Amino acid sequence: MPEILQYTFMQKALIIGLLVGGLCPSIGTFLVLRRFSMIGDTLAHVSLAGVLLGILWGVSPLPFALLVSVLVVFVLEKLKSVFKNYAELSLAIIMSTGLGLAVVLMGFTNTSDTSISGLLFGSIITLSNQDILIIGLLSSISIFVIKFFYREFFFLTFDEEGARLAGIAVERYNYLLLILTAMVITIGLRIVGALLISSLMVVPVAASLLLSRGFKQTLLYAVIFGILSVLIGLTASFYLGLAPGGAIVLSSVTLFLLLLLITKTHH
Amino acid sequence: MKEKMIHLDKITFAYPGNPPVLEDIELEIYTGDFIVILGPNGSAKTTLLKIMLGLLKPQKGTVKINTSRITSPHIGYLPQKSSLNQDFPATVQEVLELTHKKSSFRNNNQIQQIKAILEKVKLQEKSNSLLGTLSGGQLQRVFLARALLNNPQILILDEPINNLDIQAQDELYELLHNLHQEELTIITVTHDPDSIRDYASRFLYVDRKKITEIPKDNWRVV
Repeated sequence: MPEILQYTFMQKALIIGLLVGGLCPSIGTFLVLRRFSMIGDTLAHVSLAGVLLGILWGVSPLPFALLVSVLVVFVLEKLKSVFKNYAELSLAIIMSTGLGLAVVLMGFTNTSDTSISGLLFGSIITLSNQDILIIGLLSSISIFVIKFFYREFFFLTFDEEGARLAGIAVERYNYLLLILTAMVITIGLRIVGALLISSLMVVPVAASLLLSRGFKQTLLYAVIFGILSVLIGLTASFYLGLAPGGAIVLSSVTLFLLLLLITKTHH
Repeated sequence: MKEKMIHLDKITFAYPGNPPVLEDIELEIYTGDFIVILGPNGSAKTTLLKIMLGLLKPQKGTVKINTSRITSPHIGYLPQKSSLNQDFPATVQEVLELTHKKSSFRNNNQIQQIKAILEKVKLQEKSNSLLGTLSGGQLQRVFLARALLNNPQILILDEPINNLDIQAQDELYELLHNLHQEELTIITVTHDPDSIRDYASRFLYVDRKKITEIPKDNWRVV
């Protein structure tokens, strides 16, 4: 057995990593094509504040972070109706609030520097059995929802008005997609980190768009590139002692650049 | 006797915080009508179409289709070209499957219907092409094919020939003419009534919150 698989913490990290690597780009495909890539970053910052609040109040951090993110999804939608023509302004306001709150809360919590840096940049050694259980549960729900409502999400992404005409409850699925985003971010927070998780929602999708010959293919390739990035990143992180979040994101960017080079040369 | 397809009964519509753009509109559309809607920019032509489609709710009045309240499966809609992402990474087949009512159950009937629609718009060779690789005219025919799925009784088009070259315009009009011959009721907004004049049965002019019906031979007066 390779050395990387001999440690329990690495086995846990790889299982969670594969789930994160597949789920982030599948949600990311819908978000990127709706020109809503920034939502990942926004909710990640909010999740970070949620985790710290959970630690401070002595409640389970991951479910609490998810709760906070889901509440913020509703605030965000309300705020968007105030700034109708400037959707990204609402995102910027929420993101700043999330980060501001997180920075203040860091001063109050007794967490060590290592845990803080783990939250920001990802960590493979801090995964508890409870984390695994929660992440496993959230991943199963997410996979089920994406599979079951694929047509609705695809329609919403391609043509919101057309979806409405076809009798799809656009607002409801919009919320569902955002709640799903919050869930996937919570899943990835521990291993990739709050500052980098949204990259895993965007970069594999960008790489996939270079090759795709259809929507299903875009989704499939994005998932493959996401999983590959996590596998390469975690392996590099283990053998070279790199921060896992950074290694994963740099792997995905390298994959993207390689594909860009290949497709440009090919054309 | 012609059957009443759409009845706009005393419709008033305003966007939030603004004065009405349509006021007390009364309009009846019958089976087999080929209606051309004209009017200056910003005169609420698209708003009128969206009210017919049920996408916008009027503050006053009611929209009735076949005497019941409006329901979408009877109406096919081709929106303005600019409102759709033409580089979306989907194939023609995927877009049509998505719009098909029984999309979640890919079956022979669905495949046959999509094939027939693609033949009708002369795009049978393009079913596996990405939207981004098609010409403006071909793209418009894909969206027309989409509007024709699920056997609509009424087809609503918003400036279908915008940004199309003359040949693509002619092809589209010929297609609309054929569909009209097959008893489809057609309502279209256009800025170029000249080329569609021979096919149309009624001309409507929208301006200053009102709709005026113009005699077919007299639309140039406005």
